Amino acid sequence: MRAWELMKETFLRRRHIWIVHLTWLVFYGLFWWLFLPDPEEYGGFLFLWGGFLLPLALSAGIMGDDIASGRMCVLVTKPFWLGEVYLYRLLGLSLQAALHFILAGCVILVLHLVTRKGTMAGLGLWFLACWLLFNTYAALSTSLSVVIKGVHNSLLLFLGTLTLSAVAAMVIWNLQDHPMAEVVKGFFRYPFPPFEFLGHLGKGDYAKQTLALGGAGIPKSVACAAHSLILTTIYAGIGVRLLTRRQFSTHRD
Amino acid sequence: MRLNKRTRMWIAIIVAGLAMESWAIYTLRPSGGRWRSEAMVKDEPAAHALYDQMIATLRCAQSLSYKLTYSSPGDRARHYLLWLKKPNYFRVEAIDATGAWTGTLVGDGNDLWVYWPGDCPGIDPEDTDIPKADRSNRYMTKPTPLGRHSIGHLVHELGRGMGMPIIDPSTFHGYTDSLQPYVNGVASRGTDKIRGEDCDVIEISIMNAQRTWYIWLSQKDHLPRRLKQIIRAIGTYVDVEEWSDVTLDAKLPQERFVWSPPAGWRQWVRPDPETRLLKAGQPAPQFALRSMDKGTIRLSDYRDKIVWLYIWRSG
Repeated sequence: MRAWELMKETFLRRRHIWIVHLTWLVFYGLFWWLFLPDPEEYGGFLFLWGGFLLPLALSAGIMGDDIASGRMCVLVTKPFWLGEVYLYRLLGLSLQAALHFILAGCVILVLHLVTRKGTMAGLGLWFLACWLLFNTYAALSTSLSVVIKGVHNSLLLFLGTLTLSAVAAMVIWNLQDHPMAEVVKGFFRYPFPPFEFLGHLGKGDYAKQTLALGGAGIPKSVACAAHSLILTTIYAGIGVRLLTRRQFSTHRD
Repeated sequence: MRLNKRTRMWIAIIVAGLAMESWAIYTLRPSGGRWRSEAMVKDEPAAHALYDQMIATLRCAQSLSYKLTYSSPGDRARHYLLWLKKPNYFRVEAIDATGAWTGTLVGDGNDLWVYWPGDCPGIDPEDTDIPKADRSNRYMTKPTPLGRHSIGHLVHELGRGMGMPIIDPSTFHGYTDSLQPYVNGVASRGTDKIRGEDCDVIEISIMNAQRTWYIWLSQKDHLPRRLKQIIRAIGTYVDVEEWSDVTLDAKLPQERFVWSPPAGWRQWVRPDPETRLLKAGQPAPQFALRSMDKGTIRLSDYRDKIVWLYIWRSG
């Protein structure tokens, strides 16, 4: 077995993965069909469903399943570095997301051509933002999956994100000009998955600044993508470190 | 200590990553939403000439009519139909997102009249002093000295909609917008097509780029087809106007610029704000305002001191 085959495996890992892809595509279509959204509203919907919920649904138990089933004990005997198991699993997720967003684009384009509703303008940027957010969440979830059993990695990440966001919103609202509010904002802006920056990227705010600031938008867009990919790398690095430090043996406790 | 090749490679990767992340964080640092002088454009004579040509076209035309669609992010579009005629005639009809008429502004050469199909939007719905029956069949009127009145400043009286158009329609009648002395520069942003029409795009910096306009000027008649305004104050505000059905120097019937109040209609006068002001010796209500450096200024912090409130127009 070659390490890269694990990437292919992520597509076929569980039956629910195909159901998730199909369900999400149907939702993209339904939202377009029923609500006749403007690009910003629709982009926000894509961002939430594709960038945040999709990685959680696809990465549920991604490493935990292998560890729980004892397959990891077999994989450690293969002639590749254990970190590669992690990296190819993550690449598999990222590739799935890329294909998913291409398919979503096709679904929306067909609906747009058939119904003549809405506009495709700006959706490309939203898909890029979705894919970048997907990668950060997929890396975070895969890393959690190394230490958390079963599908609890996704559940924990989902609840953690909601709880942290709610607490942060309350802190920022109640302590508007307090230094603590700035600390919370800084946490959500930099080490947390970059919702804010990628939201701006998707909305085309950086493109608007290109028009307004004579080119300053292009470095901002690149910086946004770079920050997002670096965060993905850091989350993945932590996961690889956790995985390679674990002891896997053929003997169960 | 001699490092092996693999360690050196990892160190190089980490240093490169840190450098890249530092650059990304620096580039993405919040600007505080305030205006930035680097957003100012240098004046380009050719682009400035396009802007001057637009003003000249507006001033020289005998009549002008167009449909203006106003929108801002997160808000529904509003539509306005405008007819302007020399020397001093105008008519503006406001249409809401559902296509319903919400108000009309008519200039008959000497006075302007504003009237609405339902309740007067200027009357506070919470104001119990005015009975419900007295809120409708109302109109406003005021004199319109040629070249000295502004339709732009009165458009908000038409009801829910835009506060003020980007280019004041009264420019057509010789009015000079108060922002004109603060234009820092006009630069070209190339050409673009708006609804199939070739347009020159210009960028105009006003008040050290606290306000920026982008205007798509039709190469056919030098009048706008799209205008975009960015106001950089504590936050950044964006307004977009689309001009369509632009008709220059067409014969406009005089009846379009005439209106007189039907029987039973009564004039409405906006209450004088002086009546709501504090009287000498009356304690001031407490308030807190956000300061320019993102702090908070509370009136209570200045108790027993003389407070001078200096209010100016930003952006």
